[in-house]
Amino acid sequence: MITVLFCVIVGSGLLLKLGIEKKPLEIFALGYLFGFLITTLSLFIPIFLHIPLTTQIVLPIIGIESLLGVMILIKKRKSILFNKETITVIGIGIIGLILLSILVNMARPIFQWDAMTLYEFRSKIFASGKLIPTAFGKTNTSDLSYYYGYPPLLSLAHAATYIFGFQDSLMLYSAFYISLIVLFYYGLKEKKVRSTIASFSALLVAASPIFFEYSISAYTNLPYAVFIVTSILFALAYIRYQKKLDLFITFIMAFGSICIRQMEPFFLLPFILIIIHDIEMRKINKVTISFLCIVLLFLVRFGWEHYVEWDLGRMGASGTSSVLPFPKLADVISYLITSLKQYHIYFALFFFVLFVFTKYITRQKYILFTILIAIIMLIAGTFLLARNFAPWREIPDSVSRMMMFLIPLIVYYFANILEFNQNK
Amino acid sequence: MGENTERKMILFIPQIVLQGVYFCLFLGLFFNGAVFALKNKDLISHYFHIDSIYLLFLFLSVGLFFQVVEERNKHKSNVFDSFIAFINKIFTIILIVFFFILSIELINYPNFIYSTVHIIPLNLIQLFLLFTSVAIVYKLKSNSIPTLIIWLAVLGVFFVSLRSTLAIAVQTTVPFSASYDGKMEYLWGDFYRYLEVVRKIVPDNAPIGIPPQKSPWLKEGNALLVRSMLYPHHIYSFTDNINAPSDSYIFFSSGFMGRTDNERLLFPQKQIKCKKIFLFDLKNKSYSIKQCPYIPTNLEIQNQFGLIQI
Repeated sequence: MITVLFCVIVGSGLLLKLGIEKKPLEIFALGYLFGFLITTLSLFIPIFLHIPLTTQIVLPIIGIESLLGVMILIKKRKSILFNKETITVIGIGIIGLILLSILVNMARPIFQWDAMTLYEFRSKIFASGKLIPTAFGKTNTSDLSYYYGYPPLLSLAHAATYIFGFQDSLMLYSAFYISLIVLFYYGLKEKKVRSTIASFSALLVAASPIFFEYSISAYTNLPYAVFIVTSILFALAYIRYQKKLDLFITFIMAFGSICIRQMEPFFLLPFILIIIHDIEMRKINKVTISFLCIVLLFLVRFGWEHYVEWDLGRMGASGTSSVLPFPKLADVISYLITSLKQYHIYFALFFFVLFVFTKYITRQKYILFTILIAIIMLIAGTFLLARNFAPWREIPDSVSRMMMFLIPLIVYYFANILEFNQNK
Repeated sequence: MGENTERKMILFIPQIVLQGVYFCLFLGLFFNGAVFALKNKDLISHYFHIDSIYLLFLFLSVGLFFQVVEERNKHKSNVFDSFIAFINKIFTIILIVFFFILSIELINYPNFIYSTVHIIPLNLIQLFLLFTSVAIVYKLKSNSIPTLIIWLAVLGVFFVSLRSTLAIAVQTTVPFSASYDGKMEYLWGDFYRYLEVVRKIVPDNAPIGIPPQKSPWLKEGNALLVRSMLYPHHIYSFTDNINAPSDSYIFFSSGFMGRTDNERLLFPQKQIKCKKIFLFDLKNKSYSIKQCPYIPTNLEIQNQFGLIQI
């Protein structure tokens, strides 16, 4: 909980300093994501410079950041206006699911295979004052490249928890879960969706099995999905209101997603939307801003992909694998449909609404574009994976986890259709 | 309540039921049709060498596109869109006819239709399902959809999701007040108890040899997993054709995880000179010491787990 608290304080302080004007819950939810990035990136700096993390290094970093955050929060406390909001039955349902996630995380340790071997194990190395290249003695450096599969920010967040003497690093994932629900709700309210529909939609996302499951697991997929969804929501807000702060938040959230999982290309989605909008509105000069953001994000991605070579030297670089022939499209689609079986009821609802309410398609074109482009990216990505990875059909769970951000997008689309239908 | 309102209510309820039935039919037919089309070769792919999934996407994309155009141009009649709807209805009728032809086969003998006209009726099922589902969508569009139907659908999705979510929460419960080791034993079972005993015996600086990662040693043979649980020990993969370094320890294991539950095979499978053999009692997390050398055919160690000190 302590790491979560630090992240909220640091991130919320920064957002208030930037002049954000949102409801308190939304500030704290977004603040957690900002604070997570600031805290973990500042802990990454000594790691990058091959300086092991010790209490003498971690305490000043987090202490200074938290102090600044607290000072800003105190100074800007009048901007945080808590209004009495009626807690409805739906709100109780959401709170119930959140409490359930927290309770399970308090009771259960990290035990899943991938979580133990990579994210949790890295955090234990960092928390014990060691670095990956030197932590294993005689081990061949090429064997250590596994530990550079994903950027180490989540492991650093776990390590910060352990350094402070706590063991509840799973609370970070409950906090991501809460952030998603809150930001999703307010994302719909931004679109003038009535409270009943917005809160029920947030409950639908909260109750989705895959989101709940990864709120009680130390995997990168939930944090990644939260960053991507938030980035898209703020991109939609930017398209609507043209506020620079929304564009900035879109960029930071997309950046955050690359800092969690650098391989997937979905960080491009919000900027593709903005580019489409700018071209439609004939604002060609603004398109360059989006392209600049994309270039910067690709540079960040390039950095994470080659971080292993920086840390381990050339020996850490993965070798080229043999190229296999492209599979058939029908095989790929069949595999993806089977992998995404948890999503079938959401897609069924989506297609039904899409075909029946075609009159609202143009009003919802951006979210539809997002879903469509994400699916195209998934299919294209599967083709590329199949070229280099022979057992590509044996990782359906991985596909399912990777695409979990589609559920909030589908529910978002659905909520807007409900709102339009109620208003007709 | 006025008479007109009462009449509207009486007409409203059957409409909801009918819309609900159409919706359920659409779901079932569309998804079953899509799954069949993807998994099976059908008439289209056999004779035209193109998978019916392409036909489906083409049909839906064109139909959707012209639906959007029609909605936007309300005052102009869209001939092509009407044509698509008409073609779809014709296909549906034709395929319903073929579906009944299939029932003729049931009355006669298997392969009756194929032996007569060289068409496998079952290969037409997916096309029938897909076109019928699209026809249903057109039927739905011709009526106004009450918001209640949509809410019912959403509630259905919610309750199905909630049931799975609560099942996930329940199936992952652990004894709340147990220690970390207690909880990990609950979650990992004998494998975790095995590693706890290994930690008791092996000094920190001693390397540990593990089996290859194949059945039935999928857990203890996974170097990444064992390393994460036994860090800071140096873990290396021990095979029968290498000599273990002195002062190292080697897992001996009958297999914690194989392709089947009952699969057991002792590792290592060669005789090894050693200092000590530790035979584990996993239930009590204790061990007893046995005489060397390690002989894989020794009855005492069959289906057992332990450690060999080189």
